[in-house]
Amino acid sequence: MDKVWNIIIAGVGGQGVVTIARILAESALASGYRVKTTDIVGGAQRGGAILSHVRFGNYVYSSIVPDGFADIVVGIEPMEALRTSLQYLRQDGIVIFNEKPVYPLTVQLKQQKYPPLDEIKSALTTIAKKAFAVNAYELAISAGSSLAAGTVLLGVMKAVSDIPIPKHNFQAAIEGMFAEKVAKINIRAFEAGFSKGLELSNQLK
Amino acid sequence: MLKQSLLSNEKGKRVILSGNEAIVRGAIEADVKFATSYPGNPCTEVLDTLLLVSKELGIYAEWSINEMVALEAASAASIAGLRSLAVMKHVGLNWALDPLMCINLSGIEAGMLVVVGDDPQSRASQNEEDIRFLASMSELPMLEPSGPAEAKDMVVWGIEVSERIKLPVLLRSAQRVSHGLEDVVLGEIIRSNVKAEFKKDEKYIVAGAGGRSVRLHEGLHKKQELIESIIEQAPFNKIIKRGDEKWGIISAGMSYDIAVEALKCYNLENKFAMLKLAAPHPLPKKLLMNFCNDLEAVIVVEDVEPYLQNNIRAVLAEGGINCKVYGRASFNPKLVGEVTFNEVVNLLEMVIGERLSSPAQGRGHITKFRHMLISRPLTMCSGCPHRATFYAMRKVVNKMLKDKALFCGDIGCYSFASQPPFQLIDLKFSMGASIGLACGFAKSNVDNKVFAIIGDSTFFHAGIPGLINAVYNDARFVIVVLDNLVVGMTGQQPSPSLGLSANGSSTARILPEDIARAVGVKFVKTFDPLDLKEAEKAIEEAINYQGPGPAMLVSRSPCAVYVAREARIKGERLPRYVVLEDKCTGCGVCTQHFGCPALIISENNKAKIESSDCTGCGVCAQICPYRAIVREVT
Repeated sequence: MDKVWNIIIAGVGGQGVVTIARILAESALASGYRVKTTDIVGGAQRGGAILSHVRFGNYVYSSIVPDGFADIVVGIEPMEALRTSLQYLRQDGIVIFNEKPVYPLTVQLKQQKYPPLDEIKSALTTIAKKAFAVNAYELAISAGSSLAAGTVLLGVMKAVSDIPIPKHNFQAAIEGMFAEKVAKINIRAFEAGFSKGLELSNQLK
Repeated sequence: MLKQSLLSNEKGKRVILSGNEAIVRGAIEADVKFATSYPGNPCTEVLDTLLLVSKELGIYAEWSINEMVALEAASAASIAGLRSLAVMKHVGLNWALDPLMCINLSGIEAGMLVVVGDDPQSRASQNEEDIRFLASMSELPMLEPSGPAEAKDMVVWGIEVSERIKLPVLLRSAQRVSHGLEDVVLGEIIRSNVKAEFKKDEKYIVAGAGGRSVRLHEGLHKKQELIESIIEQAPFNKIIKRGDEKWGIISAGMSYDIAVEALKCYNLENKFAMLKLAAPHPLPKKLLMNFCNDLEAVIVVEDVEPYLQNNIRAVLAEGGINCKVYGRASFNPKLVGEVTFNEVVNLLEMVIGERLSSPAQGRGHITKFRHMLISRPLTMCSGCPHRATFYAMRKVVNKMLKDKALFCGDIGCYSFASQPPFQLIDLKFSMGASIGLACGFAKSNVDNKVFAIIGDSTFFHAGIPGLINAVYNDARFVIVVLDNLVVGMTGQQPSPSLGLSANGSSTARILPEDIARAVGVKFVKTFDPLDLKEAEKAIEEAINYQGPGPAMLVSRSPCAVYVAREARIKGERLPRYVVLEDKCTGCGVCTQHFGCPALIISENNKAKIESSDCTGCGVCAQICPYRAIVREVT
């Protein structure tokens, strides 16, 4: 199989985009693939947009996903899910996104308006073959930490896509990356996302 | 997992590492004993990562005060026989260029690698430049990996080459390499036991008198032939050529991978021969001439300037090879930024003379939905003490000076004060420039009250000479040192004002106000910006100070991200603030004049504090005109 899987994690500084990309990279390696990722960071600071491109397969050339080639976009923030999907998502691609917005400072200062969430949702439904909106923030808090929203979305991704990485490899990657307490929270978050993904997937059918 | 991957002696094992981490693994495999760095994107995480294992491996690792000192210290270690690593971003090498231009003359002893983190596209730097020119200027080889796996191997090889040529070797690690992840094959770790020893030699006294430095310069020129022959043989040069191709592609580093991706995508692999260069400097002339000899045209794929394109052109012209050299300079008149997939496709189209239809799908929605996208400018974090300082400054300046104030900014998180709601930066150049600029404006007798705004780490890095200049030449202006105890922007590495060294052990605490007093600043005042009244009073006094010399304020409060992380590690809960809905009138003072990201206006037009973002600084409670913000009772 020569397919290279192209997945882009999008979010805002402080949401753990880079960590999620790393969990995905570790899980892909454990599943026998070669992996390359790259981060496109607006700035090291909280508040800027961040993208991680993750590519895996039997051989990967560039770490950068060309425009219009992403199989899956995982958006930890709705506006960033939209921005990334517009540039990168394939027509038959999947977008999975957190419903909770992070407002840029310019919105607070009333220089820009954040569009209503329903409009973002409907745009993403048009752009993608399948769009999954998830309240990842609430699920993460139930799992033990709002910081685990990205891990919730990884669980959703596993449930709703054909991604060729077994579930236990995600779990092993999570356990390998965090200290025990934080790993437990993230395993719960992943499971919560996985169940939510199955539920949403069944609704679509 | 990362620590295991760094220490593992399972040769041949594949592990996931970032470019920065792979450089560390390479340094461990290469028996590096001494490492220095100053934090700066994209290569801050090299020393951050090394510090995880440096004690166990007996590697000395320090955050140096600036890149110049980092390079000097690493070269001393190398001269004394310890393999060394100096790590800095591109603008750091600008700082270190002065000693570099002498170290290349004297030469070194044990292998020494200088990692230069480059930032084409200037995503997290003040400027974009092309660092490859400094390799040709200093006549030192510069290796360029295409990803983490190659970065690790190039560190090991580069250290060996350095030891052979008795010169430092440079390694360009661009943003995409430093911050990318890849599966990396581990090599063997064999750590030696070397004792540092300085062997006296006249060559280490680089001086013009008696023509010595000119002789040393001549010696450096003579070494170039050896360096070029080593680079010709580098295992990282790669040629893919069957012999019937009309065209070729020449590239180095990650740009090469982008070129291969484009060829694969359009099924053009059979039409183009490929040459991947190990190093942008020096160019392997024989290899290039052999590669281009029977080709009609080559495309050079690279970031920023047409550095390779122009140099390859010169090599081919000199060798009498009739092969056209296309690249950025031919088709991209802008000559800025990283090379992209689409740019490579355009270059391919021009050379083959036909349009390539994109196999990409789903691009039709862009025009339909683009209007919905809003920008996301960078901002100071929730609870950032700089925001409090700027709120107080804006208030006092509005009252006392109106628009008769001129703000010279500097490099750090506080540079975001150039944006609304504060707009307290009028100029910003390079590290430490705020104070030198302020000296110049003050001595030019501009009508404005002049301010220099600088962070603690930047002050220690580059601000002190400017401060002494201000006292010595009686330049009258206000210096505000925003001391948050850490290098905030790069991930809270300790600054000298924290009192902790790189590895977390306790060390001398150095305070900017002590330095100011020692060099003769007559007005020095320290305040806590989280107490707005105290802050406003101190700023007023500094503005009223008439001289002699500058007035210096130190606004001291630890970085909010650092505070939050320390609390998390210790299992402590930070205080939180909440809005009393019945008292909040929705006036917008807290959101629009203060702009902390934890504060939003909710649907019912009342202020709301995101509890997960609040760090409990309490400044918003001080600015609310209706006393509607209070500390949460737990």
